[in-house]
Amino acid sequence: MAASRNRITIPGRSMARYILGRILSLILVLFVVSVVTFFLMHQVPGGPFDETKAPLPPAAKENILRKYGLDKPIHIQYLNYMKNAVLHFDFGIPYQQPTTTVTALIAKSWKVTAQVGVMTVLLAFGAGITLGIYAAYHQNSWIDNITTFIAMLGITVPSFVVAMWLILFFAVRLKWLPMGGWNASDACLLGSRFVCTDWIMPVVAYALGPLAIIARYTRSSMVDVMRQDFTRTARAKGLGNRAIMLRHILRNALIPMVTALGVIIPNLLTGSIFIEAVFRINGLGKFFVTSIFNRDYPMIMALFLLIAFLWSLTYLFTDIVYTWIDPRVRLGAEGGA
Amino acid sequence: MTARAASGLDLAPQDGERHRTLWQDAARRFLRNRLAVIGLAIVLLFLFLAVFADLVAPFPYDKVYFDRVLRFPFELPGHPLGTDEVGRDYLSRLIYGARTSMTVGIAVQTVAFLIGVPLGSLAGYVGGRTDFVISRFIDTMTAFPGLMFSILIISVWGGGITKVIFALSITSWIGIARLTRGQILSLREKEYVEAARCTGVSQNRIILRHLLPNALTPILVSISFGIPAAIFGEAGLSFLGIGINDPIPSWGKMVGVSNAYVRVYWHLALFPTIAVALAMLGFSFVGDGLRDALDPKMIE
Repeated sequence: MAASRNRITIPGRSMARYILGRILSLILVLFVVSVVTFFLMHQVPGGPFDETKAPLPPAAKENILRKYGLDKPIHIQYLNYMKNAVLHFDFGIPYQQPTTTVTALIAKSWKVTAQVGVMTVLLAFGAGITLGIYAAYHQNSWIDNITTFIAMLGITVPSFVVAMWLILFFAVRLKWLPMGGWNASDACLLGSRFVCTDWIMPVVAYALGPLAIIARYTRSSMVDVMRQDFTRTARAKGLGNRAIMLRHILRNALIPMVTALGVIIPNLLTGSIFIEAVFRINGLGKFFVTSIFNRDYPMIMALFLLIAFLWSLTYLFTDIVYTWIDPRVRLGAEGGA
Repeated sequence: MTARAASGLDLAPQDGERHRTLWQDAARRFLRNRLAVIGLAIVLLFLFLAVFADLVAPFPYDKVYFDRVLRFPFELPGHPLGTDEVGRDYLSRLIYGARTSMTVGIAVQTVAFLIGVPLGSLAGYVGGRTDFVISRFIDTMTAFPGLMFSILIISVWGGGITKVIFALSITSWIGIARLTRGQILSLREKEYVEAARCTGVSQNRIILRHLLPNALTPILVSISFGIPAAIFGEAGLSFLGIGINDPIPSWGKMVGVSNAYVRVYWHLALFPTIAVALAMLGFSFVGDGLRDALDPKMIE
C-alpha cells in the first residue's frame, strides 16, 4: 500500500517505468509469437516446392531451395528471417506470387482492411454510445428494450452468421444491396470511392458485435454515474439536463469505454478474416486464408507477426490510457487480490 | 447475511422454514429467470439431438443421393429441409451438426477446466516465484491472438474434430486460470482458511476442500460462457474451410459452403446459421442465468 502511494506521488517516473516494462513484455510476446509461428510453419507436411505435378531435376530443386534459403538448418533460417524482417523490413518473397515481395503485397491490401475497420469502429462507437445513452436515459422504454435485444444478438451471434442473414434478406430477397465486393465500380455512387452500397452490409455485420458491447457498457456505466452523489448535487445546483449530461455523467461514464476499446480492437483484427471471406473482399484477411491454403510460409509469418504486433500494441495502448485517465488505477500493483 | 448474523446468530433453520442448500437456492433463482429457462431448453434440445442423432435423424449424415442434389425444403417428400450440394438430407446433417458443436464445446471447456483450475490454484495458493512464473505465462498467452493461433495450428496439423478441439483448447484455459488464481488469492486470507491451517489441515486438503468449492461458482459461470465461445471457434474454423473435414457435418462448414450457393439455394445458408445462433443464444442465456443465480449479491 505504502509503495503504491509512493509511486503515485512521482507519476512521471513510475509511468515511464510502467510503460518500459510493458514494452519489454511486448517484445517478449512478439519473440515468442515469431518463434512459435516459424517452427510451426516448418512443421507443415509438404513444402512449397514439392513435386506433385511436374518433378524437378534434383539440381534444379537444390537451386530453388538454396535461393529461398530452405537448405539451411531451421534455426539459421529463423535468424536470417528475423534479421531481414527487423532490420530491412523484408519479410521475404511470397510463394504464391514470386514476382513481388510480402511487404509489397501487404502494402497493397492493407488499405481495404483498414477502410473496413475504420468504418466499423466509427459505426460501432457512434451508434453504440448513442444507443447506450438513450437507453440509460429512458430505462425500460421500447428503445431500451430494443437496445438490450440488439446487444444480446450482437454479443452472442457470430459476425459471419449476421452477415449471411443480411445477404439473404437484403441481397437475395430484396435485391437492394450487392452480394459482396468492396469499392466495386457499379456499387459506388457519385463517381467512385465516395459512397458505395457494397460498404453497407460488411460494415453493419462487422460492427454489430462491438456495437453491442459498447451499447451495453455505455448504458450500465451511465446508469451507475446517474445514481452518484455528484450527479444529484449538480441537479440540486440547478444545472440544466444537457450540462449535467455532458460535463458530469458522460465524462465519467466514458472511462470504462477504454476497457471496451481494449477488447474490441484486437477482436476486430481477427474478425476481418470472416467478413472478408463472406463478402469476397480482397483485404489482408482474405490473404491470410489463401496463404494458409497455399502453405505460403513467408506470407503467413508476416501476417501473423503483424496481427500479433497490432494486438499487443492495442493492449499496451489501452492499459496506458486507462492508468492515465483514471488515477484510481494503481500502477504496477497486482490487481487480482 | 450480515443482517442475519447481527440478529443473534441463529443460522440453524427455524421451525417451519425448510433448510435449503446453496444449490437449491440457486436452482430456484435460475428457474424463476424466464430467459435462463428458455436457454436451458435450447441447450437440452441440442444435447438431446447430439446424443440421439442416430435415432432422430431420418438419414445418415453421409448418405449421398445423386438424383436429389440441391433440392429446396419440402420439394421432395422425406427431405423437409431439402438437400445439399451433393444430395445429402439437410435436416439429418443439421442434427448431426449438433453432435459436432456440442462435442467441441464441452470437450474444449473440459480441457480448459483441467488445465486452468490446477494452474490457477497453484499460482494463487503457493504464490511467490511459482505465481510469478505462471502469471507471466498467462499474461504472455493473453497477448496471443487466440483465434489466429488456432487457425495456425489447424493449418499445420490439419483439420478434424480432435485437432479442432486441441487447437481451441490451447488458449481456452487462460481465462479460467486467471479467474481461479484471483479467487484463491482472495479466499486464502479468509479466517476460516486460517482456522483450518491452524488446526493442521494439510495444504492439499485446504485447496481441495476449503478453497476450491468456494471458488467454484465463478468458474462454473466462466465455463458456461466458454462453451458457446468454443462452439463459435469451431464454427469459425469450419466456416473458413479448415476445421471439421468432410463428410462429418459442422454448422460452420455448412454456412461456409452455402456462401457459394446463396443466390438461389437460400435454405443452405438459412438453417445452419439459425442453428449456430440458437446454440450460442441458448448457452449465453444459461450462462447469464447461472451468474445471476449464483451471485451472492443477488440474494434477496
